Amino acid sequence: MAVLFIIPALIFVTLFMYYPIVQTFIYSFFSLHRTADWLNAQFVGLQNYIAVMKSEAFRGAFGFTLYYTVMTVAFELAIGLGMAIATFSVHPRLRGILRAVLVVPWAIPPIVSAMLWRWLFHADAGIFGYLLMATGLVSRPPAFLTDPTLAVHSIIVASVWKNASMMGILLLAGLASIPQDIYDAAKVDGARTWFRFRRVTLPLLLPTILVTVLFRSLWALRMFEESYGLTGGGPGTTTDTLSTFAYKYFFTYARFGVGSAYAMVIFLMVVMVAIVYVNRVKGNLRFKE
Amino acid sequence: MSEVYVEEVCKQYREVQALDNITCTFEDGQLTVLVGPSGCGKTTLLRTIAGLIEPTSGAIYIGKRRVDGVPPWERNIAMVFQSYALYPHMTVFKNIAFPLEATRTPKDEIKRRVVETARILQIENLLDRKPRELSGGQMQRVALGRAIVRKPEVFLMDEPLSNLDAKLRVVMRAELKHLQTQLGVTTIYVTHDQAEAMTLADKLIVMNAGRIQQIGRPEELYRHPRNIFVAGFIGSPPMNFIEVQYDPTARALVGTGFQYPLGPRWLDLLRNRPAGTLILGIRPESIQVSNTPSPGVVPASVYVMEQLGREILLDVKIGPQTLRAFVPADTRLQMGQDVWLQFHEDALYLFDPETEVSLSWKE
Repeated sequence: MAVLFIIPALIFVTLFMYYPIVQTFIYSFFSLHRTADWLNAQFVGLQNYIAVMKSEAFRGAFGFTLYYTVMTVAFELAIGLGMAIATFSVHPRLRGILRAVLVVPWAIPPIVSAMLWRWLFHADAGIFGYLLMATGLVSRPPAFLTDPTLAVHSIIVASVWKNASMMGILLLAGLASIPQDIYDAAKVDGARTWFRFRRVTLPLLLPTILVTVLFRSLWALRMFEESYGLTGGGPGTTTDTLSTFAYKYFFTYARFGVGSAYAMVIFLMVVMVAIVYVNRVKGNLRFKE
Repeated sequence: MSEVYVEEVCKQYREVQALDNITCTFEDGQLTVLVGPSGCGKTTLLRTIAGLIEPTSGAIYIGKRRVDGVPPWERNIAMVFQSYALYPHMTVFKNIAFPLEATRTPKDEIKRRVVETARILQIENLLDRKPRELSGGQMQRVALGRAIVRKPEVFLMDEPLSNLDAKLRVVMRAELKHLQTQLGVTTIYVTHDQAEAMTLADKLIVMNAGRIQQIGRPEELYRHPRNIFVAGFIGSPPMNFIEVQYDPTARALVGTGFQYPLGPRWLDLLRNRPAGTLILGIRPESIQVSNTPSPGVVPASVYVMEQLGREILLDVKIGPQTLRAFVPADTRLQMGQDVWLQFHEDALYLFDPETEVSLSWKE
């Protein structure tokens, strides 16, 4: 009987998750492109992977993806934590409203948010450029999305705006799960605000922080929408991530073999990070029972 | 060590008056118990003294210092919570050391005092454990350790024994009393359990509906309850109450099926009172039950018998009203059997039905 209930989920997961993964895995060992004869595709072994590893573009995308992940997760954690604590400290009645406000950036579909930021950063019509001009700091609007360094950081800013709120919400839930008695005990024990935060709140929140950072990191490593929507990977391939590369190889260049190899590299990377991280985090989760 | 003085403290929540003009003193070095049913305001008062709740009006003094408006971490108090509220991520050592670290005590002194505290509470072998590895009784000791280690001016205890099983509770109760006497620190103890309150207290403060009902030593409250609430709250099983009519011409109280002639002491007290309804109170342990009628006794019938081993707790009916009384364990009685109850005049209480105040109460 129990099996019966699992079957729908099993079919779904197999069809939409395991099948594509296996398919991609197989594709990554073949030379597949638009004009190739798919039925007699040539098996090329690891050549696609070698091509990926050797390419300058891969190294660029890899570097950008890592930089992007570290920067966004760090800033999102700091800002999210701030938002969570601020929301937690206000009166319970106001807390509900703040929580709803917090959720908004996260609720916007990623590609829509990317488009929104593209307009904000727009060289001629963007509000940021206009404001900077108005303050007289610059004589013409900065090329937020076309200057390599600026483009990278513009994408990071847009991502942080969108995802810090998710961090905030999750950390807020973590804060709320700490019993009020423990805060009260710390207060009467003579602990001032900063001491309480450092010695009680933060350590008790650590399990939540670690899990949140894990999920967000895995998400960031696969980042696609922000690059695709804001810069399309440009200028050049400066803001291409592994995901946008895989996408381009599949759908722009129609080189399915290489695209699959890219996809597998991301997949393995994410799995590796997850394994390492979960193993390290396990010990920290223990006191929560 | 200091006296705590609470002056005209009120706490108003939106529609609820949690504390209604509370004035009382918690004497230096004594254990004062705040007791009352749930929702009576006892915990609110304790948390107000702790600084976790700010009163709407009134003043609070610890020693000579006025502390309302002072944050809890500057009040030099220690509190034991019902949930113990141990820090789950710290070892027992760290838990006990926390108040000292928070107040920047030198490291070697922290070590010395934590070990000394652990020795007093006999938890030296637990210092490396985390709270989740402790039993309820052990957690209780750690919570106490965290409270006594900093040598506070006042101990505040919020139902600290409620989470223990009945047997351990009695053991910890005795230890707590011993510890408190030994340390001589002013202690304010909140409980809803009147038996716990009676055994622990140097002084009791009975609260109900945000007001103080009566303040006094346990035996004072037992012997001279100010009103029906205190009379019914202190003592287990509670005092029996029967509605009676006072008849000045017959010099007696008239109830369903009985007439109770009053002696000179009561007649003197009731001198200026017109005929009318009174509430008669009598403790179960003050009722004598006999098989045979005699003058001045109240007829009743046996309803339920509860064998307690040392004695039998008897429920008897007088008309529609039920009374409880004790009889010796070897008494042979049957359900429905007629019995006669004798109340000693000195053990009798009379209350005004309007004000609910005891007629023998003198301020």
